[in-house]
Amino acid sequence: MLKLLLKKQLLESFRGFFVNQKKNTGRAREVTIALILLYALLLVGVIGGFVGFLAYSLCSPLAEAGLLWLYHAIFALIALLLGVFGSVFNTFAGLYKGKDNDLLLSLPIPVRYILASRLLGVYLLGLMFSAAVLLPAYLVRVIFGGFSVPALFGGLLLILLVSLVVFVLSCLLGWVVAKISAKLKNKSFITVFLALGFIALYYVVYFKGLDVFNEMIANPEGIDGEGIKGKAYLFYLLGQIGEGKPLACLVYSLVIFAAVVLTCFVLDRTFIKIATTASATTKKAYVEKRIAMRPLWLTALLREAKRFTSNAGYMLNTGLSTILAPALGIFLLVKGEDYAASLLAREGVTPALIGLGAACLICFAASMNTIAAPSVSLEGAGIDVIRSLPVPTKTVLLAKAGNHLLFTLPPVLLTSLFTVVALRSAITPGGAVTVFVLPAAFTLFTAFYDLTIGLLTPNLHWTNEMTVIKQGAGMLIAAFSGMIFPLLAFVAALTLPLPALALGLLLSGVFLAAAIALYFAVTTWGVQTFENLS
Amino acid sequence: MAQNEVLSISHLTKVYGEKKAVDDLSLSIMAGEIYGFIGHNGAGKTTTLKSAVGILAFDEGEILVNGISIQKDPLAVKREIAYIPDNPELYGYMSGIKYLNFIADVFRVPADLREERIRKYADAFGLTSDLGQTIASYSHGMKQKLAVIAAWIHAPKLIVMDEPFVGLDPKAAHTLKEMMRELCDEGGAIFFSTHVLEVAEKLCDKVAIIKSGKLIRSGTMEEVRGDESLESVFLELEEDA
Repeated sequence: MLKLLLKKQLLESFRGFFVNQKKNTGRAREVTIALILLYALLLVGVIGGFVGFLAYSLCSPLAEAGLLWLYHAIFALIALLLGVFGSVFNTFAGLYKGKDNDLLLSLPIPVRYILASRLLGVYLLGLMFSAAVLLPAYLVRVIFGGFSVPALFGGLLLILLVSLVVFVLSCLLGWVVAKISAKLKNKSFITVFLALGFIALYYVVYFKGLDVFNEMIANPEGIDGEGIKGKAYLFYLLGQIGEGKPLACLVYSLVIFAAVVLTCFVLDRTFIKIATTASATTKKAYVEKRIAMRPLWLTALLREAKRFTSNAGYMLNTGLSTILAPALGIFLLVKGEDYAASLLAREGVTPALIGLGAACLICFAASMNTIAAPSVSLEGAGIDVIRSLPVPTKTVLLAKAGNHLLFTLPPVLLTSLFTVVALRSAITPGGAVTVFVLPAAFTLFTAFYDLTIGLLTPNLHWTNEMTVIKQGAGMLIAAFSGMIFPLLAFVAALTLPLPALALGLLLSGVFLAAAIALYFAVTTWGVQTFENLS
Repeated sequence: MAQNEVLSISHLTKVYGEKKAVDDLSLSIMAGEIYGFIGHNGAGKTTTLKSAVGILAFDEGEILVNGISIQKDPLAVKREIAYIPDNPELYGYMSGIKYLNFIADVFRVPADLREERIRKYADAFGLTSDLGQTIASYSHGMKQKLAVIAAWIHAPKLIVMDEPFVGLDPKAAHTLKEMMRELCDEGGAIFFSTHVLEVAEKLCDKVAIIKSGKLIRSGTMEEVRGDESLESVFLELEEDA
């Protein structure tokens, strides 16, 4: 029975590999294999590429200094960071809000099997992100530190333990959100703030951990383990797992397995009640008001905005930069001047280049918003409703891009303003122009780029909306490729022999031109595609 | 428990927040009976049906299927029953045949029996040639037919259905009625909600009318409607109660 459910869960999570979602037909085995390889390549290529580069620069000096434990500890923390970030927002809906709740609960299937199959989905997502960091890091460690059986065991155990910690944190947050949201109104926003609070707390702990590392590196006496006491000793042990040291493996395994057991116990005891409890609602008496007729474009835009703001999972997974971008701006207001001064002291760094760098950084923050990418799939079975109304498809699609802009452009411009104020003494007027123009052009580009991806990878037949918000191929492509563009822009800024202002304007022009091209694609090909979706 | 009592609902109460969705509801269904459940929108029909099949926990009362408590041994009860919700959520990424096999695997239906039943019911609904297609490509009616076949695949003792005729074409609706009668003739029982009073009148052996969570009349068709039509009785009760 459990095997059946697990198979179904895996098929559901990775259905894109097996089913052509445009034609609703099964894929040929060769196509499935090719798609899985492409997916793995994308994951390994993007995350693995970043990690591999970082690992390459760290591993050799740390191995020579006999500090491979520190190397493992650093990458374990990075994997935790990415794993939690990648899976934590998915859990509430993934565990409790499946559209097949009624079907499965009416069948003679033990409830804990249903829970177990859904937990598998949560675990696999965390494992995917954790392994994408730790596997490349381990491979680099083998190249520079040599192969040993204990290190192989330790490396694999570290992946398992990190993925289990991610699993526990995700499940606990999902559980807390479920308990709270059942009792509150405005639960979407409360869920968002709760999740952000959780992430903020997590980051505080995470960065405290990094401070401990920095302190140790600054004071290398006793860094071999003998002199490490207190909090640092836990980090030391964490790193020791990677080298397969028995004490570290045993201590961490016992603690983490106990946490997993406790988490599963709590979820098992509460799952059925949460999954079948209707959320608290209070009946609101209707008061007749004078209603103004809105133009069609505004009606379509507000429909998209309402969909976005009424779904915590949608907001958290695709709209984080609405909050994080201004947070970056505030951070720069506090620390930006110091950073700029230390950068300017370096050879070859000019005020104009700092402006361009800051603009690319804002673009990077903006790239975390992928609101338009799942918007086509989120229409789901209800797509016929909007298609049956006298609304031009072009208006529907532009509303989706418009919604992306509505929640991305204002915070990005605010961030630009904060940045210019923060760096006013370090950048030129031309640099200030770049800080405004480049992120604005980039945001316009991502709105249409994400929408195009959404149109290319539609899935109207999901069982859980998080499938398209979090796990869909379109979302993965939009999220990762969106981050690459600002990095490419920055690499271009460093390598092209042009003045920084000219480069900034050139890059802005490229993004603007791409946005215009995609606008025409969406309003021609995209309209046809949307109208033919089934 | 009376002999041959397939479903017994005693003093069922289900509360959502401050609202009593079902209030002290009792009814029983015997083997061989088709039992209709009617009421206005939001009267508590779906809540009762979902409680009866173990999807919803309830606050007070007891529900027994063939003498087994749904609260004490839900798995044993679920092995004996089938449920078709008003809007079946089938897995769009599976083909029709894969879905039926999934359900048959859950109920541990032997291969030869499932093949025989799938062939019989899919042929009856004219769905056989579409079983290889993904469910996502099915029309609403085809999905409903598939949900019905899935419900019948393990030959349950009790089938609970929420608005089963919605979306079915006249031929399929006729086929479903025949299947319902056949199951009851073989000792099973059917408990279903409907807004189509003509169907209830012609098909049901017994009927219950629910309003605002309370059962306001139940019994055999003759007991409930007397000399009038079911529609007249229903409308009168709606106004009076």
